[in-house]
Amino acid sequence: MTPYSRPASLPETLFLLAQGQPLLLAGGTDVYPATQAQWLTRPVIDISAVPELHGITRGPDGLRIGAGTTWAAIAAAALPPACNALQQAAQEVGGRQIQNAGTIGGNLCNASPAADGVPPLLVLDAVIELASPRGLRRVALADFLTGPRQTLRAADEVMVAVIVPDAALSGASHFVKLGARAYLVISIAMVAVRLLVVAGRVQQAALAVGACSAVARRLPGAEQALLGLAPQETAAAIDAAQVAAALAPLDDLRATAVYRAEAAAELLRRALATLAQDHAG
Amino acid sequence: MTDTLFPAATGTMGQPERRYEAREKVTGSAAYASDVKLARTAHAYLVTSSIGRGRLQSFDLTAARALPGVIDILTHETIGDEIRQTPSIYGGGYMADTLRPLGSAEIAHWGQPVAMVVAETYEAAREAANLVVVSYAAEVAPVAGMGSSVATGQALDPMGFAVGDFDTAYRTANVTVDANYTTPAQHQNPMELFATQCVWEAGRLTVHEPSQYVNNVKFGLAAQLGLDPSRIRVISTYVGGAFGAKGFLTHRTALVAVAARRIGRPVKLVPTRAQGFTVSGYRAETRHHVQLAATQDGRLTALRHEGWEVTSRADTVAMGAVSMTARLYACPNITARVNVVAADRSTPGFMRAPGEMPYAFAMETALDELAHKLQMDPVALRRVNDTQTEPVGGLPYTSRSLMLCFDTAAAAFGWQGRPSEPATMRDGDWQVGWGCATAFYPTHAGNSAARVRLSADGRVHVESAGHELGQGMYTMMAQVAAEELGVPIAQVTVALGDTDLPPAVVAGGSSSTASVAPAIMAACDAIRRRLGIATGVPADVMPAMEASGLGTIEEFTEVRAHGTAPDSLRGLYRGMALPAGGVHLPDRVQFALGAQFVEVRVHRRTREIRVPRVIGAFAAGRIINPRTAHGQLVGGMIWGIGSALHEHSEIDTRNASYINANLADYLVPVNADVADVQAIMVEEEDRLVNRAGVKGVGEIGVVGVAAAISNAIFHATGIRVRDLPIRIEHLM
Amino acid sequence: MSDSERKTEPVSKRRRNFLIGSAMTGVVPVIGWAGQAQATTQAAPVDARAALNVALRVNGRLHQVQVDARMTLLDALREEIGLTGAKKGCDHGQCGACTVLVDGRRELACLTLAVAAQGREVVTIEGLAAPDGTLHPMQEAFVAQDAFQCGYCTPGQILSAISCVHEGHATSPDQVREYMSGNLCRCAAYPNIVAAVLQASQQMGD
Repeated sequence: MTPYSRPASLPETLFLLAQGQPLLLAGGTDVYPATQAQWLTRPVIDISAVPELHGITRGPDGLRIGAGTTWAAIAAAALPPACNALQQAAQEVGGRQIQNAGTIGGNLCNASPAADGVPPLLVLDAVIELASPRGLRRVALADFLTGPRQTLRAADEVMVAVIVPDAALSGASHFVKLGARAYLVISIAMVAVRLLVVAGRVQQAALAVGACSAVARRLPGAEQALLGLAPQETAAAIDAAQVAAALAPLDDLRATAVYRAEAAAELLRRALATLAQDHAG
Repeated sequence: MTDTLFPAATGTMGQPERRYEAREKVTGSAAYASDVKLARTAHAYLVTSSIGRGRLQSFDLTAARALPGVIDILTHETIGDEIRQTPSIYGGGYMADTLRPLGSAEIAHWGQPVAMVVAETYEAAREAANLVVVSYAAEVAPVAGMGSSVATGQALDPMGFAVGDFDTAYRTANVTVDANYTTPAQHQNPMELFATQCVWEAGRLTVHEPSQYVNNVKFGLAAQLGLDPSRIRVISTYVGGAFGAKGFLTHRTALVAVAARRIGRPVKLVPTRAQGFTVSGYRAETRHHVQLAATQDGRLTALRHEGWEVTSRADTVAMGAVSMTARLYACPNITARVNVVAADRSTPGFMRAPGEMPYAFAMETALDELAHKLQMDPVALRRVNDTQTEPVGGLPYTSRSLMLCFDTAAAAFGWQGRPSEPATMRDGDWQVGWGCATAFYPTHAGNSAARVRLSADGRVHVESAGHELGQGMYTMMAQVAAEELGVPIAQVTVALGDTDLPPAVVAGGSSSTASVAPAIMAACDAIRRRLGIATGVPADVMPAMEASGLGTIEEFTEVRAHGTAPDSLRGLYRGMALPAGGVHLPDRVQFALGAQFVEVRVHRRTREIRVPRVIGAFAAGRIINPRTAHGQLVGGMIWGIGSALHEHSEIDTRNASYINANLADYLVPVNADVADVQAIMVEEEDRLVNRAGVKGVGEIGVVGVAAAISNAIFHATGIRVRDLPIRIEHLM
Repeated sequence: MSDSERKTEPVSKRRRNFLIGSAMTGVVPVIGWAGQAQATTQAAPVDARAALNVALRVNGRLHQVQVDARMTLLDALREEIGLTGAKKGCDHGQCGACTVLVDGRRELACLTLAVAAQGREVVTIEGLAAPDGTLHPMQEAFVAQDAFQCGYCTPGQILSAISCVHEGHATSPDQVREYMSGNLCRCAAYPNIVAAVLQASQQMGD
């Protein structure tokens, strides 16, 4: 195997992937920072030119976002309002240079607890499609992420696409992130909220919080509490204690657990208030 | 193109001239140290200690040596006696610390260089460095810093002083404040890494290294390597930011020089950003105890400021800025003391407003606490205690325009009508607060020399081993020569940053302009004298030059700065030109002063902190170039925001290492963090400080911002935060 | 991006067995080893350190360089091609000093492998001024607004700023602040950088 290859198709990629322990390189934005002291000694498979990994298409099973789609492309795409949170998150992933190179698949496979893309995808009930010599399989994103920097991806698998089922493409969503400063920071807490409002009442609610627990999570209890409410009533229905209990927040150098839970609840309120405003207007 | 930012001025000095080297900097042709291309360069990579204290037991270099492309590996075992032990600047030498580079098996701190790999390529050197197996013995739990239970302080008696009877005055006072403050370790993190390139040619060594003091590097290296200094040349044409980090000789330079000599090829080292956290010094964490007493009308009757600073075991370094905080306001009873806490850390150093930033945070926050207790406007409190005579030695300020700065900034800010009660201003979910603080910085200057050459075609060439760090040195020196000789600035060329040029002061302590400009003026005087033109008055020298029939006139002059020892000019030629002035003069004190005003917003629930506006007014003597000065002041103020809210080198106490030694986790301000920051330059004429009348603006912008922010946060929320950086958790 | 640029050696075809995408979609572009015209995926021990011959198109010129497979585009530009305008400030994608334009978009040269930049159009700070030395409007605006001090982050700022304008992200000061936040300036010339971007965006309007 050569030290560097840039396959032009998915089959080529899988063949190369089965050759040893190569390093998959998509946008490259996490590879060097995460690779201790920057010494790559494994062969590199650059999957940036694999056509099967690119493009955003609407098909029978929903919205299909190629794993190699960059954040800049996601931010610029014409997507339904349910994807607003995803597009807002896309503009928060590092600086613009990072958004131009970094991909949605790379972000998910690196599984940082503070990955911006995860909460918006959780509220979209996203499903991950993985390919290997054994075939294709699909895994719910919520199951795919198993812990900090840990996923269900096998060594010989490549993520092909992120699929948002049709049912989750209804309603509108919003993303809010909180850091110690205005921009470009690993988040202390971030939330995504999606509401489907029918006849003035919440019919579907999806809430997800990132950076507050080992893996970003949905909050089923809090979601339940919003059903049937008018959009304007949702922010007040967020119970900080309930949020805290659901999250078991992280206590690290960026913020204490207590603060994180408080902040997550406040961000949920903010996101819901923003969505309610859209409904009012 | 019009300059909307900068008003026009009359005269060459005082004009907002565009940067001399602007074209080079916007086209990428400005060659910084690591940009210089040398033939057949080998690449070096440092291996640094992963423990905080102990001994090296052994190296296994087998795998590293076997890697293709590896040429040489330096360790304390392989380097021999090529580098001598020399004292640090704190012991009268040149080094930033007293450890000998690769000098022994002793590990004094995490991140200490323990080996350097040299290879054909950077990639090979990097990989080999990671293959070097280091075994440690006698690892001891380190004292990581001030917080360690086993850390003990030691008073530095020479830095302490007292006047009057503090104890009695404090005990009998109407109103008192007694509070403790802390500031964290911080790193300068200039954008340019600590690159070094060394090349030997016929027994002569040329060093390309970003430096605030090329002659320090030259003479220090000569001492380390046992070389005649005349065989060493150090070049630092452009410096990609320094902020104190590039002032004095660090371990890496001698290692690269030795490696280049051993392999007979140029060697290039570019330490990583993480390694940079221990390659050079840093701002050590500090603790403060401040006690103030005042009469009901706000006159200070007692002031006590005691500081504690972390230092390394090898070097006793303290910024001890009580020397300034105790001299800012009229007060009859003063006690000041400085202590150091020795830790297993690399030796601290200088970082933009090194002691002024932390000590001002403590004193200026304490004053705000006093104002609150007195129910007095914080500006009024400063006015009541304003003085033209410093209270410790009774010496006069050469000039002091503090209240003019406060009044100017307050007017621009719209301070009038500020409610005195905290937590009373609201804007939706945001609590709003306004705060202010005094900014100060001692006026320094050091001995410097310059050479000026006037040619018959009207061209002027200025030479000095001063330094361009971004402060606009090339531009300002061209302005000085143009003004003194009465020629258009476009005809002036300037050379800086090279030991082959006339020596100048270290570019530290905001002293460069104040030191080098007088040397250039003196050289221009000499030219005028040769042409029979009176000095000190505006005149175009060209008619006289033409009449003289001469092709060129070249003059070299050296200028001794006020307050330096009579024989100190010799030190100028040995890399020992350090700034003097400030509070260390027998006859007077010299300060630049200013006033910082900020508005903060704190979110009612998430406690996010925003700083929508900062306005500072500064009186710093003569401003040679308002355009570059504006950049210095605004940049400094943004540093102040960073110090208040973001910057914090976090320490893992297990091995006294830095947890966030990278630019993603060590938060320096980014563009979106900065809203409205305004610097106003208050006119001030000071003919005493130095011939140029310059006080320096490189550092004062930082000072006081953190206190003003903390004071504004108190005003917004009623919560007094005495520890930096201020985090949202502090406001829960 | 031109596909002809990406043409490289075909590799051995002894591989099948894919459960999906049963048809091969063409040759795999694998970069040849230095001194070896043909490389195969069979080569037993993987040598990630092998030097590779790489053709990089920078500022409209094609450069043939031999690089370590792990060499970043930043180091290739600086060490091999001699274009030192792109700066190393962190080498980890955290500072923006190495920003270059790749196929017209701003990217970080320190996060891009040199080999991966083959077939792409790279523009560095050295490629902005006209051949007669006339500065690009963004360079001119940086000078006019004094949008730098030490100058080390400046090449990256300028390239980032040009992209910022082209992306349509320079319509207001707030937007510029946000979209220029991937480029750190430790001298903190930020207010002047914002002014420069806004000034140039008017002139670049077309």
